[in-house]
Amino acid sequence: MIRSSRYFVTVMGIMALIYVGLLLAMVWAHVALVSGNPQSAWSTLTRPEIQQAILLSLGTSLLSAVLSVWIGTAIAYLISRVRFPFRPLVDFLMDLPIFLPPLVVGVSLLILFRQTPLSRLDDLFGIAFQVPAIVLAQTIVGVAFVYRTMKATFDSMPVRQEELAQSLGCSWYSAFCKITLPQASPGLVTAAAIAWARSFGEFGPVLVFAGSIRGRTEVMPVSIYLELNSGNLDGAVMIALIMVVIAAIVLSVTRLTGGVQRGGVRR
Amino acid sequence: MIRPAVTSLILAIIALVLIFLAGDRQRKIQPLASRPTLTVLCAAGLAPVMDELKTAFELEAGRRVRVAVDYKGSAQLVALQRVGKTGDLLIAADTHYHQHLVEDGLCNAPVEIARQHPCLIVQPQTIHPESWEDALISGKFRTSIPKSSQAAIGRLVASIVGNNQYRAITNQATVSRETVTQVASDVDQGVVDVGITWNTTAHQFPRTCTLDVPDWQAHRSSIGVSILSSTQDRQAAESFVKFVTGQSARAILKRHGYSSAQNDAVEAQP
Amino acid sequence: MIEMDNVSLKRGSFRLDKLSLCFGQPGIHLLIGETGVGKTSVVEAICGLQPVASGQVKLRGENVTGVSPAARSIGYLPQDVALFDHLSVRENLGFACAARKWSPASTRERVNSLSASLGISDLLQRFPEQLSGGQKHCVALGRALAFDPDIVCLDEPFAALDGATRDSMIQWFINYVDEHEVTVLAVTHQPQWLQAVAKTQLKLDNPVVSPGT
Repeated sequence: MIRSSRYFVTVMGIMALIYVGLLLAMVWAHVALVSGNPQSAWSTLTRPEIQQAILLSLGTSLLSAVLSVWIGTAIAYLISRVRFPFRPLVDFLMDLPIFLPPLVVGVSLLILFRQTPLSRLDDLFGIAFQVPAIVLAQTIVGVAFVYRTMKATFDSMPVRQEELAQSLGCSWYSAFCKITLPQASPGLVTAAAIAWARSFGEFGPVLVFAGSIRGRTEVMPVSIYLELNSGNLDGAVMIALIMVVIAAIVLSVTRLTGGVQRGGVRR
Repeated sequence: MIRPAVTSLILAIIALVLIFLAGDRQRKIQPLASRPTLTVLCAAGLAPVMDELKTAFELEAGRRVRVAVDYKGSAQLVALQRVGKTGDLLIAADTHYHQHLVEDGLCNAPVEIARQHPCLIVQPQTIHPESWEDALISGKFRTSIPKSSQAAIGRLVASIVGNNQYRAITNQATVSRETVTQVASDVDQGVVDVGITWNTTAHQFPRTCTLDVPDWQAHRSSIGVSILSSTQDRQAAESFVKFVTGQSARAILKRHGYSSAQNDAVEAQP
Repeated sequence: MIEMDNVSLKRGSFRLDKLSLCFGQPGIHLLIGETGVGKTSVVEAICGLQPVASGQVKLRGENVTGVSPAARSIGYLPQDVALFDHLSVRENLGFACAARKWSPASTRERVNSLSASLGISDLLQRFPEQLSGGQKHCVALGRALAFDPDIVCLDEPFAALDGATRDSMIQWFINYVDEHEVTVLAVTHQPQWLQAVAKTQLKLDNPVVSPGT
């Protein structure tokens, strides 16, 4: 390796070391605190409302991720391939949930479903402060992240192969299914993973729109909030640790089953 | 190769099963899903005592009524209630929060259920100065102070020590917080040496010491319960109010460090 | 039969005005011209991959101007080959047959005979990234011919191949065209390889390129 590039790599390495080291230290701090008081941490886990929160978190985040991937991919494909008026406006609007503070998303949803004619829908089906509110809040944000990822993926893929598939006898829809989606699968897996992770950790909109109702809309981030508010730091940290473990499992499974990421490695 | 449609369908079904299991679990805890549910909007700081009150009420009501508690910061509860307009009862950290909603006709006047007073929370090994009020602005201690704009306690203490003094305390603070639980947690974790909280909050953190400031003790803040105008079941809501203002509730509240109007009357007698 | 009737094309700054052409007989027809005169655009317009601004495209005597690319039944070999990277050679070759709902058995049979004839039977399990440039070209040609189209469009065919391979492939292709009575439109700026066997030859020039973007 040339000398100057050695410095280049060293600088990048140092940055990586500091950041990754910090992350590991944060996790370690959790473990240290929990192991200092294992009984209290363990008793948190045996509480039925916490077990319920874990199940509810897994269920809602998974459902939201699936919904986000469908909706986000469809919109990303539309914006990437079809020219229509106000396209840039739609593109901008899709970023709204990313840069808006999460609490604002929750407040907006609450106003929408309680103060506008849509409240009749809410009265009918019971959305606000119920499980559907969790999924809705998570999906709103999840879609935006899927959209960003998938739009970049579709933009980077030449239209050529799709056109060719159409000329070989496919309809546009089946060219999308047979050619575009499989080729976009690494992006799709990444998008799904991001959407899931976002939904799993979503707190602000859920707190406002779904409430923090024990046993009803309590997902894991809300549990942490409630435990902190009860002064039970050990419990809060224990739940956070479980979240880290679950996320590690889910994300590595996605990595393993997802398409092989092709990228150049310099030796 | 992944088949997106099939994969996502399977995942969605798994998700629904998990959500169902979560609901099922809840039904096992409270096998009365079809019974009327009272939703109580409650200040998050009251969570430990409220959890106990809720269970006791459900037992006393013969499990005919379920209680779901939505915990948030008091100011947040009030602000969101203007928009959300759902729920049956409100228990904020201080009755003055209720006033905003009373004025708008969103709830009735609060009935007092307990009282608390501001105090200092310190770590056990802290060396005590002669006057804490001076010490808080001396810069010798690391302090965690509730914001006067967001926490009821901030407003109360500011009215006791004077706004200028409180501003000085806040300016000198290592950190200022939205809730008293965060303040107490700061002291508990050793992030700061001293904080201002309710005596009841300090009660939740056994590793810390509560320190009463003589002038502050007389300034009680009252916690009250109001029936919200959005309630669907006024009768059940009234039975809840009756319960939390009654004898058995008072015992629970006392165990958590809350005093009541009655207790105060007894203490006042020579 | 391939016909264009007063066709105008627009794409960005590129414009082609009122082009008319007609290739009636089965056999190889050449459309030649310098790089950038719009040969590819003409082929794409015929295949339905590019909209025409005005005029008509006719295939087999029918107006197909608004018809989907799939319904035009043209075997198309693009300049950049564009094999489907996520599919094996076998799947690439059988793609058009599968898309046209041939039975798996007849698709398989067709792919086997075509690959044997092209001499690429040993490549069927490979993926495009494991092929050389010449092999890719061969597979793409096979893919275009697999569903037995009576009209074939080739964009700069055989240009990426080297001497001996090219000669044998051209020979194979000429035989195929004779045998199956296919109407072939080949656009190229190097007409020398096919000139000898071409039925007709049309030179495309004088494109209208509007100034600016």
